[in-house]
Amino acid sequence: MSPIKKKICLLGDVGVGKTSLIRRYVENIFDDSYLTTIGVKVSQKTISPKEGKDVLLMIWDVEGFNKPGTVSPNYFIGAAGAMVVCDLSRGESIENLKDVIRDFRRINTQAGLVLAGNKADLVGSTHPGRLLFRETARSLELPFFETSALNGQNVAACFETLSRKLIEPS
Amino acid sequence: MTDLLCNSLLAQIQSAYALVTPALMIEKHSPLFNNFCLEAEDPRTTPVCDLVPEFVGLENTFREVLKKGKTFDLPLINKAGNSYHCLVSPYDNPETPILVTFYNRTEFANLKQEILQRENEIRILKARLTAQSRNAASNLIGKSPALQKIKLMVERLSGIKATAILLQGETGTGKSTVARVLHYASAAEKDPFIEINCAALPETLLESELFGAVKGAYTNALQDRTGLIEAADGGSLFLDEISELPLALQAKLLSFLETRRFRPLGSNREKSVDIRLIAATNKDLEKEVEKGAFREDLFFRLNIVPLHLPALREMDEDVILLAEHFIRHFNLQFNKRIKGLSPAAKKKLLKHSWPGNVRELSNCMEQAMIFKDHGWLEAEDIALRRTEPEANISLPATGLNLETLERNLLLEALERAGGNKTQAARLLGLTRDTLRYRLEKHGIA
Repeated sequence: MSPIKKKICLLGDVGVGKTSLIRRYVENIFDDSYLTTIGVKVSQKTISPKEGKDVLLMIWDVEGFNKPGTVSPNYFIGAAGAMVVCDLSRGESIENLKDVIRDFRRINTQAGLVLAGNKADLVGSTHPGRLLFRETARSLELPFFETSALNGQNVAACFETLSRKLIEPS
Repeated sequence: MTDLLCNSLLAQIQSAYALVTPALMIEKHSPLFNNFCLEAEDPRTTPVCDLVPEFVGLENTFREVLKKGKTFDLPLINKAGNSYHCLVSPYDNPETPILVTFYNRTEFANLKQEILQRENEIRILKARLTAQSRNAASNLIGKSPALQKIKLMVERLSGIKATAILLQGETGTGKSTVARVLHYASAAEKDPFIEINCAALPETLLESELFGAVKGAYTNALQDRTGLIEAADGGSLFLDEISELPLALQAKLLSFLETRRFRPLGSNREKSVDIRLIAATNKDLEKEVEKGAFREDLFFRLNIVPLHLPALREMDEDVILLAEHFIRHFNLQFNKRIKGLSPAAKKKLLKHSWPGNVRELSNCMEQAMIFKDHGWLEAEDIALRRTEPEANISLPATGLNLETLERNLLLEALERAGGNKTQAARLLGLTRDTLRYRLEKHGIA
């Protein structure tokens, strides 16, 4: 039996590490050179969030939000979930999480969401970015993970949490 | 013939099409369209929204195209090194009313990439620098005039690297924090910040630690060793408790500060580095100079920009702002949900003299939060270190009214003891009878 297919989007400011998170999760590789994403790229990964339930994830690496309204909202249509990513070392990208979520929610009101505070390897345990990220996540009442595409910290956990939301919507 | 021509043209421009039935099945497609389909699926038997990865979840969108006759597009889909603009449009044929096309837009995408790459790199760098300097400044918490003065000085000094900076202040006033702020406010991400406590190492070790040593310079020098001054090249060297630096090393440090050159232990070759030197002490260096314990010339060299950090008791209500900062910090560290300080707790913190300054406040909040999980921190949750006020009280230059002072102390002791005279007497070091006598003397009921 072919697995059910679900579309998820990775969204967030430019340079927060969306492509790196996908490459770490799908191919288990990391490359620290930065190449800005233009448009979208869809990667695939089969997972089993529940016994006997295979899901083929269509992971949309959506170009970064650098100005409001520059990302085509058509990319969000049909998504069952989204991982909204920020860079813990750049407060601005954390502050923009709410705008990114608002743009996504305009198109997609029901999709599951999870937040990823990426580049955790760059910031210390008491860095204000961590504090701001946790406060933002709590205020949005969304599950959140401090991730590192560099060392893999919480990357799989973040994707798996989102995947579980897809098959067990609250 | 038409199909052949069409397919040949599309192949030349690396583009593809497919015609879709009302049941969302593919009826016909150009050969290149296979590149857009999932390998595991059969185009003849699989609905288009299960066949093309980019169409997963788009069943309703396809039906909308059918129903409303409006084109839907997905700009710049990247696939196998090329970029495509995908269009799902109505097609004037009842059997295949939807036309899917993938136009090759690789050249356009490459051009856009070239423009945005540079723009985004600059944007990211700027944002990171802003965050870095904003975070550095955010470590100086408070609104009191005393702290505002420090913030202003730090701002001015952050751009000047050549001048040594001397931080003076009581123990626990945050000299190390200010040193870091000075460094991070202007340093690049990879510039080093090296810190050493001059009181922590014996003289013999301190010299090699600071200036480095070459192999054979002393008995156990089995290989060349880079000193902290060299390690701080391009960044900042923070010498805490500079007053404890032995006199011989003070001379060597002065020479380095004047020439920016130094010679590692046992070496004939001079090295030169570019560092910012920040020194700190809780002692009065002028008095140390008078005693002969600190070189006058080094003092003058360091004292070009003296920065005196205020004691916590001089920072008015900053005590509360700092306490709230520590609550947020320890909430995260201990995974607690303390809401903040109750009014009584605030009053208690404001009344204390904080001889241990910010460090004492931090310890005090940490201790309070270990024993409480949620709600507000109350006055009784906060255990303050007993202070010995008699040791701190000195006659002000303008004199004082002893009677008023005694009355105020009696009232404060009673308030702190909640009206309990035995406890109030203990706070003042009096017997209960003596306290009663003094209360009567001042007409305090």
